[in-house]
Parts: sequence; structure tokens; C-alpha cells
Amino acid sequence: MSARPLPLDMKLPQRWRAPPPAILLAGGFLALVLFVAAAASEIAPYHYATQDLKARLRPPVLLGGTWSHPLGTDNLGRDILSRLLYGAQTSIGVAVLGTMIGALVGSTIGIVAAHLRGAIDQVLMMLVDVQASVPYIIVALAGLAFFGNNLTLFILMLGLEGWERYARLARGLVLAELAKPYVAATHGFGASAIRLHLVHVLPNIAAALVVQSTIYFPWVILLETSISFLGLGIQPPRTSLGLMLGQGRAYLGNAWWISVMPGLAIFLTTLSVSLVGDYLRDRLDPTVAD
Amino acid sequence: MLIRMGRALLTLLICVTITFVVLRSAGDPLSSLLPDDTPPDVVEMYRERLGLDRPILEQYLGYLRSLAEGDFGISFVERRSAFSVVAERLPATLLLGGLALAAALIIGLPLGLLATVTRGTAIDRLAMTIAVMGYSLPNFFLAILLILLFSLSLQILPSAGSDTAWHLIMPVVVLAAPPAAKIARFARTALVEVTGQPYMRTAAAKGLPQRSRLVGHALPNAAIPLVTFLGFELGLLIGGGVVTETIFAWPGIGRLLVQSVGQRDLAVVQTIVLMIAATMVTANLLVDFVYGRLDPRVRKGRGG
Repeated sequence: MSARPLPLDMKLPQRWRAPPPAILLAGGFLALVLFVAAAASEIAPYHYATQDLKARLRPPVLLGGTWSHPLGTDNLGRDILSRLLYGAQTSIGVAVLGTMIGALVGSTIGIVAAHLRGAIDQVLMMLVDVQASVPYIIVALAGLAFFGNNLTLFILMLGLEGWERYARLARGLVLAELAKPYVAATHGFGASAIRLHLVHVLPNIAAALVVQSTIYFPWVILLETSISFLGLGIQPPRTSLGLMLGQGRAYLGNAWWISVMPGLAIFLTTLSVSLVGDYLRDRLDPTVAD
Repeated sequence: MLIRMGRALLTLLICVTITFVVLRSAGDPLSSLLPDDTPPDVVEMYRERLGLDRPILEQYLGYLRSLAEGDFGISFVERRSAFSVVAERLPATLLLGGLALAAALIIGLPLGLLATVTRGTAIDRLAMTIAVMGYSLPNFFLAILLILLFSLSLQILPSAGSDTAWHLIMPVVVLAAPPAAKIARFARTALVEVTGQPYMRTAAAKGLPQRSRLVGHALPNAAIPLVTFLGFELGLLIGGGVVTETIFAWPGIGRLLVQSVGQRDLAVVQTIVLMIAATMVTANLLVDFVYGRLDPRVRKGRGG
């Protein structure tokens, strides 16, 4: 980017070079999404459930609408912009929770498997193989059918998306760490297994696990929005980006913005996370491959 | 190969066992079959008739036996065998999925090949940008955009149903887009890796034209990782089918699953889940087999 080459001794280490513009743009958009998701109730002009039946199906402002509803209104006269902000809050919040649950559960299983080895390792890795052989959306839908839909179960089902990949990754990383001399030394000082793994091994493998979670975060968003879109996830009167899109499907002919606005939001968010995640992975941790 | 088949069977057995455990822990199966105000003695009678009063191990073995006999329970919505309810939807799903897989290959492979040949140029970057888009665009959003454009604006394609061949076009495109994009990216990676091999330099040095180098040398070697990759893509197709079939009202298994989850028709959900698990396990086994055919080193080396 810089026109004038730096003198050799002033060259910054490679990982501090400014990221390419596309990554900056994606990162900026993500920061914006996170901000509006966190502050939805403060900045939204209306509550997400406020109906105005006299202002139904109003178009966005550039297509003949008014500034009182910049992105138009839906079939019940609810403000699309406000619902978008609250929807982002739900979708992002649920996905963040889900990603954390998945990383926690999966990594724990991987660490336990690597530590115990033997039969338990075999059984756990067998379960990983089983999970890897069934598409997760099927498992999530089946779980919702068997146990009945509620928000806690839904978040839990989202969280378990990708647990088997965290487990596999954590197991491999821990096995590699266990071969290093510091582990033998820690063990020699009389540290317990839990202390060894939490205080000494975990900090060494955490970077790779965090990078992994940025890669799976968009998948969790997509899973949430897909299931909510199908009407089997987040239930009204709550709202989520996927649910909005699904509800707007019936009005595509006369009010396309009800569906397209949340769709665009989902697309740009997942695209940005993917771009930034890929970039981070290449920069921070070359060991995590596809 | 025998060990692999054993593992595949074991995987299936675990799937069945998990389904059984979940079904039994999800609550009393009778509560969904009988109305709430059923007298206790009638509930007891049904409990006995369905074998729910027997020890859990005996119930488990009975469950395995009935699955082996093709008895997956009764759909309480349709009041007939869940297996036949699902089986009726199978042809529609196979048609859609098969066409989508073919489309993904027909679009993805040439795109990946084009990007490899033009590596580093604007064409390469454009092809890969299209691939990233195809992969990041959520299938339900792509479907909505296509319906807006082709059904509502241009009015040349039907937005839902399954009466004519025209009804197939949009579902196939939506279902094929993510795997096509992934295949393009993957094919490019595999081909770039192969073209860096010494034998490719030898082929170039002895004067072989680029076309024969790519078709005769690079593609067969790149096909090995691609086959494994296709095995994984099947999961993408099955998962994507759930959303795609629902949007376009395509009468396949994915839409049936969504309807059955909504109605909590557990027998049908269970049948679909087990059927998909069996399909995926078989596909992975097949991939292993083809892998061995394509790469003699695997067949001889690993002995499995």
C-alpha cells in the first residue's frame, strides 16, 4: 500500500502490516453490526412489536416512502429498520451464545479424550465420526421435534453445531502439547491433571480454538436463520433476521423489502465474518487448515 | 475394506441407539398418541400393548428388531406406516438432489479449471469471487432473490410446486450453488497443488501441450481429493434440501421433515433421520472404496 518502501531495519514484523481494504471494510461492517445488535433497544426508533395498521406495507424511503420508516413497514405496519436492529440482536446474541457453548463442549470433549486416551478416547472419537456423518441441521431439527421447541433448547441445539470439529481439533492440539517437555516438567512438580490442562496446556492451544470459533460463527448464524426462517426456531412475538425473512415471504409480490432487508443483513454479516475469519486464520495460526 | 464396513455398521448402530435414547427420554410416547383425558386403565392397556411396561433393554432389542424388519412406527398425522410416508417422498428428493449434484459438478469443475489455468489474473480472481459469493449467499436468501426476479418480475418461472420441468430450475440452482462454489474452490486448490509437482514440469519439458497436461496428468491426480470432498458435499445437499424444498414447495423428504417437526410427528422424523444417517454412512463407505480404486497406494498401503 505505502508508496515509499521502508528501510530494511524499520520493516514491521509481517503480522502487523495493515490488512487489505476488503478486510477493513468487512471488519468495519462487523463492528457496526455488533454495535447495533448490542444497542438495539437504545437506537431503534420503534419497539419491534409496535404495530401501526394505518401504515402497512410502506416502501423504503428511496422508493416513495417517508423518513418516519426509512426501510419501510411490514404487513402489520411494524417498522422494518427497528425490527432489523432487534432481529440482529437476537440472531447475533443467539449465535454468540451458541458458538461459545459449542467451543466449550467440543474442546472439553477433545481435551478429555486426549488426556484419558484408551477406550474412552475411542468411544468419544466414534461419536465424533457419527456426528460428522449426519448433517447438523437434521440433528437440530430432530432435537427440536423430539423435545419440543423452546428458546433454551434452541440455543443449546445451535451450540452443539460443530462440536465434533472442536473436539477433533482440541484433541489433536492437546496430544501435540503433551509430547512437549514443559508438560513433563509440570507433571514432575506435582501439578494435578486439571491444573496441567487448564493453566498450562489450554493457554497454548487457545489461539487455534478461538480462530476456529470465528470460522464456525457464520455457520451458527446461518443455522439459526435457516431454522427460524422455516418457522421452527425463534418464535413470534420475538424476532430474528431469519424469522423476518420467512414472515416476509408471503408478501414478496407487493412488499419485497420485508424479506430482502433481513436477507441482505444476514448475507453481509456472514460474508464479513468469513472474510475476517479467513484473514485471521492465515495471519495468526497457519496450522488450522480447512 | 472389511474393517471399514464394520465401522460403518457400528456408526449406524450408534445412530439408532442415540435415537432410541432420545425418543425414550423425550417424554412418554403415549402422551402424543392419546388424548389428555384418557382414563388411566386405557393408558395402562396401551402401555402393555406397545411393550412400554417391559425392561428398557428388552424394549431396546425390540426396537432394533422392528427397525430391521422395516417397521419405523406409525405416522400419527397420516395414520399409516411412517416408512411408506417417507418412501413416497424419496423419488422427488433424489431427482432434485441428483440434478443439483450434476449441476454443481458441471459448473464447479470448469470454474476451478479456468481459475487454475488463468492463475493470478483478473479472470482467476473473478471466478474465485463468484465462488465465495455462491458459498456465502444463504440458500433461503438466494431463493427469495430468484423468485423475485424470475417469478414476480419477469414472470418466466413458477415459484412453487412440482408439475412441470420448469418447476425444477430454481430449486436446482439454489441447491447446487453452495456445492458448486465449494467444488470450484477445492478443484482450484487441488489442481494448483498438482501442477506444482515435478512430474508436471517433466510433462511440460517433454513438450506436452497444456491441454493434455491438464486432462491427462493433473485432473486424474486432483480427482483423488475431489472424490473425498464430494462425500462431504452430500451432507451439504441433504441439509440444503431441507430449506430449498420447503421454499419451493417441492414434495420431497426435506419438506416432509420440516412439516413433521412442526407437527411433532416423531415416527416420521425418526425415519428420516435414520434414513439420512444410513445414506451418509453408505456414501462415505463408497467414497473410501472409490478412493482405493483411484489411488493404488491407499488400497495397498493402509490395508483397511
